[in-house]
Amino acid sequence: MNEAPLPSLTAPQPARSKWLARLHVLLRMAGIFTLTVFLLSAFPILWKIHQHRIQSAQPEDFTHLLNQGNINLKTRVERIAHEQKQGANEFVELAITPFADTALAPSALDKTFENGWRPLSTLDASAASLVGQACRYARSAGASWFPTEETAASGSMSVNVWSASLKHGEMNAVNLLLCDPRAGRLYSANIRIR
Amino acid sequence: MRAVRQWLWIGVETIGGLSLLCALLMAAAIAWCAWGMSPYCEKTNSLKPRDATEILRWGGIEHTAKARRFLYSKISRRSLTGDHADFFVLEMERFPRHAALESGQWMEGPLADPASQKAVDFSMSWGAEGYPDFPSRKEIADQPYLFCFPWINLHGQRVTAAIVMFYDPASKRLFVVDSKT
Repeated sequence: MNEAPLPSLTAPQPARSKWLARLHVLLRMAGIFTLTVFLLSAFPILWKIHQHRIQSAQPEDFTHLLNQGNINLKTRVERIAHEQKQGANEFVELAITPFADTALAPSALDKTFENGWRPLSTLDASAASLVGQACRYARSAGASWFPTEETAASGSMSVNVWSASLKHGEMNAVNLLLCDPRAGRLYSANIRIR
Repeated sequence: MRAVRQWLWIGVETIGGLSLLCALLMAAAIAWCAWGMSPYCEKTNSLKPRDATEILRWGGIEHTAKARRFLYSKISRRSLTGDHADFFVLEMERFPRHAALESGQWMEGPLADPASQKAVDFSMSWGAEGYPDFPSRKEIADQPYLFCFPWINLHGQRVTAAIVMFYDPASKRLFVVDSKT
């Protein structure tokens, strides 16, 4: 019985199989590279998620709100007084160290409008209406500790409307901060209406 | 063992192939973005009447209104963050005035709401008055136009993006500015 001869390893390979071999090497290198990058980047993220699951939110998790309001040099987060998430909406009340100076006090803001902070009374009608809607929305979403529109306008609070969008004149999304610098309270509302 | 190793390599090669494909797609997307930012992709008067439906949809009147033709259209180039200023002037065959006002999406001037006023100022700040058929700010303030604001983005009290539509019943023209900074 005649058997077909085995191909010689030393024999010259045809050009097509040479290119095929190169393609295999390229694909393997790309695959190894991708897997390495994926593992290296995924591990810290997975570790963070794991840590987040076993620990409750920490005050330092909210320092981004201080950065957002440009008050990270004036105060720091002492504790999380309240936090509520509902779908894409997030409401937070933070106890912050009372401000050493009165730069954020509404009386000072009348003149300076520092870093976007304003007393509610100086906002135009549209922005003031947005703040009012956001306060009502937060409270109706169960964040009963969130200031009412009246409290926000009382004179002790300053407001920073970071971003807002209106769809046919109606509030569609708003991201704002309310701060009572003397009482050491910072409120954040991040609302996305679908 | 040999078979397992072979399948392992096939898996690695598949991942490699997919990642190379993704890299190619990303390169194409970057090239597309770069093309979008170039002055070559600005399009003037390139829209067809059927494109008007999408614009009418912004105002919620796509089923009841009918556009005859585009008198003017300009689609500007995009920046990396999507900054743009597009202008459209439509000659309308039919505009459902009462239905539009009843829907609450359209309103008659003069505008009382500061956000709407700022949105108009913002939209007109892109040099719209220089384009053919576009009304001046004074005309917008004085004439009994109908206004619609499908989208307004605010940063603080400053408008950073807006879609503004206004209709002139006298000339039966619909003006639209879609801009973002």
